[in-house]
Amino acid sequence: MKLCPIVVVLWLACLTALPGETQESVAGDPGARHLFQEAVRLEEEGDLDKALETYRLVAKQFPESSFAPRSVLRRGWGLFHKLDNDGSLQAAQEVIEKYSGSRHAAGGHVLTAEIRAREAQDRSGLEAARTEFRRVALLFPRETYPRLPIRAEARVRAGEISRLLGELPIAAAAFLSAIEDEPLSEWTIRAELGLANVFLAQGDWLAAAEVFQRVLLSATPEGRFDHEVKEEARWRLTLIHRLILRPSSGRASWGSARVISLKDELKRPVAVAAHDEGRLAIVDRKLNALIWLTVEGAEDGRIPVEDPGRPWWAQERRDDLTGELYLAETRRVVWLPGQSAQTFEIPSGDKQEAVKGLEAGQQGLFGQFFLLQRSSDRVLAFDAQGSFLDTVTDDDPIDLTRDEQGRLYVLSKTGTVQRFSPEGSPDGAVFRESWDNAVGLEVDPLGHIYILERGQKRVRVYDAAGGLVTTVGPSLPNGIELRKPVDLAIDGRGRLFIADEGLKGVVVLE
Amino acid sequence: MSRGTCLSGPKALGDSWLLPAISAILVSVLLVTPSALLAQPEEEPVSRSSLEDLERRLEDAKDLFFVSTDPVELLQQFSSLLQDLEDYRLAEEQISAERVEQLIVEVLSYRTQLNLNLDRLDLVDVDMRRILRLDPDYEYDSAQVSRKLIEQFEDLRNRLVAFVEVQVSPQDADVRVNGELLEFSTRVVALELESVGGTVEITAERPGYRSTKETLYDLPAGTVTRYELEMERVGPSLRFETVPSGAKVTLTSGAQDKIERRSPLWVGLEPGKYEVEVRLEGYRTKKGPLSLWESIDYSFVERLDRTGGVVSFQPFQEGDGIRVDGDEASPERLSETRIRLKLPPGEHRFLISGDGGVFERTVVLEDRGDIEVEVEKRPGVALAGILGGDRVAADRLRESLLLVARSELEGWALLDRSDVGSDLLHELGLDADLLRSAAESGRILGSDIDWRTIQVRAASIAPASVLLLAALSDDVMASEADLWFLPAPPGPAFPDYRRVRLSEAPALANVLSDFDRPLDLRRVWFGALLIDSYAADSPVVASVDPNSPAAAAGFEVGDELVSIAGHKVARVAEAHALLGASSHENPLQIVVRRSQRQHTLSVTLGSSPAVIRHNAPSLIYASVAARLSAGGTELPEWLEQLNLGMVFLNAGAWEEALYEFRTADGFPRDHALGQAAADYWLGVSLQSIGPDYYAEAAAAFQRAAEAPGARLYHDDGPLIAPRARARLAELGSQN
Repeated sequence: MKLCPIVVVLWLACLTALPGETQESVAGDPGARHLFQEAVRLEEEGDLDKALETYRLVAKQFPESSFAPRSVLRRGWGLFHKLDNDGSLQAAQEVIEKYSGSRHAAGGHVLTAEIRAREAQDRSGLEAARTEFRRVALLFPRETYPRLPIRAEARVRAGEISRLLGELPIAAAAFLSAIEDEPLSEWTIRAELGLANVFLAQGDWLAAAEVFQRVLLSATPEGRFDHEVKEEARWRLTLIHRLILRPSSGRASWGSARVISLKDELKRPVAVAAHDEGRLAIVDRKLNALIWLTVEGAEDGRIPVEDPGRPWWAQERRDDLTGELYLAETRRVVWLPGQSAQTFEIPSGDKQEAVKGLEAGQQGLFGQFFLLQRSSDRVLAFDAQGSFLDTVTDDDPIDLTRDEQGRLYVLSKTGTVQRFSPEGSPDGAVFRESWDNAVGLEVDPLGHIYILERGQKRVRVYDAAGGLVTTVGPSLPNGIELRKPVDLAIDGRGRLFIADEGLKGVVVLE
Repeated sequence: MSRGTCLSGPKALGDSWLLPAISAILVSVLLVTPSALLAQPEEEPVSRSSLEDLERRLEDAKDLFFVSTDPVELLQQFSSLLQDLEDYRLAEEQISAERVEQLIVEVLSYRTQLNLNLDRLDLVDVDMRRILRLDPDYEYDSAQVSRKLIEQFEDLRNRLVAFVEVQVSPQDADVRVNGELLEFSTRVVALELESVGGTVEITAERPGYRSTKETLYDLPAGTVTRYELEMERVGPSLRFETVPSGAKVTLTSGAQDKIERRSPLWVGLEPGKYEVEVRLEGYRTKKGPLSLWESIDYSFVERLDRTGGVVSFQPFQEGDGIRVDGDEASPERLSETRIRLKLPPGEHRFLISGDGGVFERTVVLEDRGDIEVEVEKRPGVALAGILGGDRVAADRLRESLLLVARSELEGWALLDRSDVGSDLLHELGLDADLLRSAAESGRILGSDIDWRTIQVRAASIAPASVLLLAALSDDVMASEADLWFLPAPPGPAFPDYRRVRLSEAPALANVLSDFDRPLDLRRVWFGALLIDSYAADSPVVASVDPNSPAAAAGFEVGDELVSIAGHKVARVAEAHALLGASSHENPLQIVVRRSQRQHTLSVTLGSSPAVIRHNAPSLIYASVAARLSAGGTELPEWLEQLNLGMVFLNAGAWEEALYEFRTADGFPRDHALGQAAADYWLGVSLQSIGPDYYAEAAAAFQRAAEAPGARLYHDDGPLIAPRARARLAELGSQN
């Protein structure tokens, strides 16, 4: 089973101490305390199975101890970590029912909500998870429980789900509640990041910049999210700087350019994907290889591929620096961290027919695959297990991408960019322009749309309202000329990457 | 000498003294043997009774005396009572001996009548002898007993009792007969000869006279022996009294040893000149000469003056109260702001409390001292107690608190009120378990702890700005403690608490340091948003507020700050630190990069009012509430109200919070912090109260959303409008 994108975010929450536990007293039954501490030690040392068994013993042998609900809850999180949703849910319900009114019961609701979010297959699933998160604030109101860190966590998670669902004002309110109605905690910084992202998505870049910067200046003790949250805030600020402030002060968004290649040179780079951290995945159709490059140009590994299309990274990839890279090959999609592959079938009369001619793809909000089939000029939607769901569009698609809210953007030969809901339905937004052989499409967190025009050897950047922000190429800084650009990518800090067959390399604009 | 009671009432007794005064001494050789005593009916030992018990039993027996038809049984009853009285006298030798002897005599008198009725004459004789031994003057009541019995008793007295009439000159001498001091009016003494062996020793003493001692032998029974003595004058005597009495009087002279006595005293002295010194605690010592040359009686009365001094306090405001050594005092008011207290010398602890906090001072006052004390009230923290069974840990924590407070609490006075606090806590039913439970569950309000009552009661008996309670983590071996801080009224009835490890001294210091953190409600104002970017080597100007110092200095969007006052800056945090540390009076030189060129801009930073956050973990809001309530912050009222409102928001006291936000006015127009912030927090308060107030909350948020440049907390704080719009959207979704 593959993880749903939402789940990946949550791992960070469940791998470390339980919310609110750091403030708890360790007073209580000495036997229970000893056993509990032993379980925690085992968990910290990575022996999860033994830890879970020990937690179970604590709850069984000392049911009246204050360590019992904590043990049940930690066991629930451990099972969640082991992807045992049923066991985890059972533990969460046990805490809720046996220890109602305690802060651990609030933890039970959060765990239940996380399981619901993991299991969500559609909007209603996510909404159910959000409802469970919201239940914490209703059952454990601040008037009675002024200090309950897990309530802040529940508010933040509810806000994050609202943001994914595209309900931006609701998301903003949830983040504000976590920021302003709860004591400062490690969740505050995450709420601030969420709020800033909402402001950004709403087009209020100034409000967003202010909050992103506050995230960077956050003086709260280093929490478990600090590094990644601050890093993301800095990327966003860099984007704002590059794409809003510099153009508004008459400066180019990218002041320098360079070409990165390899010692033995790339032969025919046809596609590029950029991780937020700047790690590049380049497909070379002549070498029949996918090559990882650092942004400085050093090779960081390669694997052979057959009939490669375009690679893409899953959007939610905060759990490690490698992330989850997918590559469309003609008949399958390869999941590169594990080098496992998945094939797809579509109904053909009474039969199922293998899909071929895959060129590009994206991961949906609920784990779906949106795959661009060049042979039929369609974008097809499949569920996480590979079952066909629907045809998203058959309007001669050339490239596709998605934004942080899971909305899909499809570039067509007809010179349109059409936007679709996370489920794959047209949401009415269509952007039309007369491009000269547009071959590549990107969307950044500011909502800017990047179009690679092979005919004009340039990249056109538009804001979310369709206004042209800037044009890059064919002449680039440092005397570089685009020759035969074939694909583009943008990383977290707004660096633009253009794969160019003519230059046999990737142009980095920064 | 004892007195007869029932059978020989006071009148009979009074008469009895006349007869012996003129009678001769009767001498008897009849011995009362132990065997005679043993001849009394056997009595069962009983457990020792109380004196009241015995008196009651005697009354019961007396009631039966005239109605009983069974004299033997009644006799046994008196005998049993007699035995118990004897036991009591042995056991309680020094207590009520005279009264017990009276009772014994009374019992014996009844028993003699009963034995006489039963014709047990030998036993009658034995008991009468015992009566005479205990009370040679005893008289039977002739109305109660038979004439025969009285005659037999008088006959026996004439054989056993001698009388001595003593006459000593001067009459006020102390005369003792066989060691027993005669009262002044008593000059005839009855003596039961058997007990004194027929001999009497008479001593006479008087200051200024030579003491004498004489022994009279073979006193005859039944007659009065006259003894006269003229004492020899040998020198002066001194009667010395003091008012009040009890003073230590020391007499010194070259002629004799130092004499030290407590007053009143009466001593005989050598003629001569003396130095007298009189000392009594709480009174002024007196000294002086005394000339006592004549052999006469000198008499002095010395009135002593109380010692004391005055302590004045200023300023002492109307409404202030003062306690001296823990007790409320009523000072003499010298002026509107000055009071005076007259007090005995010594160390006194003063506590003045009222608006603005408390003032505590210990003063050592000398006799006739006059001390002026300048009152500097500081907010006070009253330590009401440390709850939990581990008293060792509690004592250690108390000591640490008092010690650390001396170094960490500059703006506060930590008052140890554990003495009154423990009773209060007990009265309110507050114990360690309740506090532990509140901390553990996070359920601080709506639990079994009535913080409002605690707040009010504490303010009445341990006045201070903040009440401090500690709860140990364990009753046996505590390793941690929670410190609970509760502001005094009118602050919110909502406590802050901090957990400290008892083994970590810095933890306690950190908490108290947080508590004492100065309220910094002004800060510099730059007026431009700076951001960090990977695409720049230094902070980038993202926006410039109109009419701000940054705008006046010419900053533009996109500028990159290179250096501030000569210090290179690479990050916004560094820029903020440099700006924050700069004075807003002197222009600051800032180098910016703009279009590949560097420009130096001169900026004069502004000054911004500031509002605290309502959810900062480092703030102890009880402390903030006390400081704001104490006044003297020199803040404009609107700013004080906004800050107070934030304290109430922290406590979830929505109604109090919204009162502050709603009534605040007079906001300055030249600051980004002002009306919109009040509107925003008013909206938050109303929204928190509940759906009934959503419409009002929406109106408040709407006003805030329509103030595009307005900011929260301070002039460089977060923009209000986007937040207000988000809150509005939320309200819209809830309606």
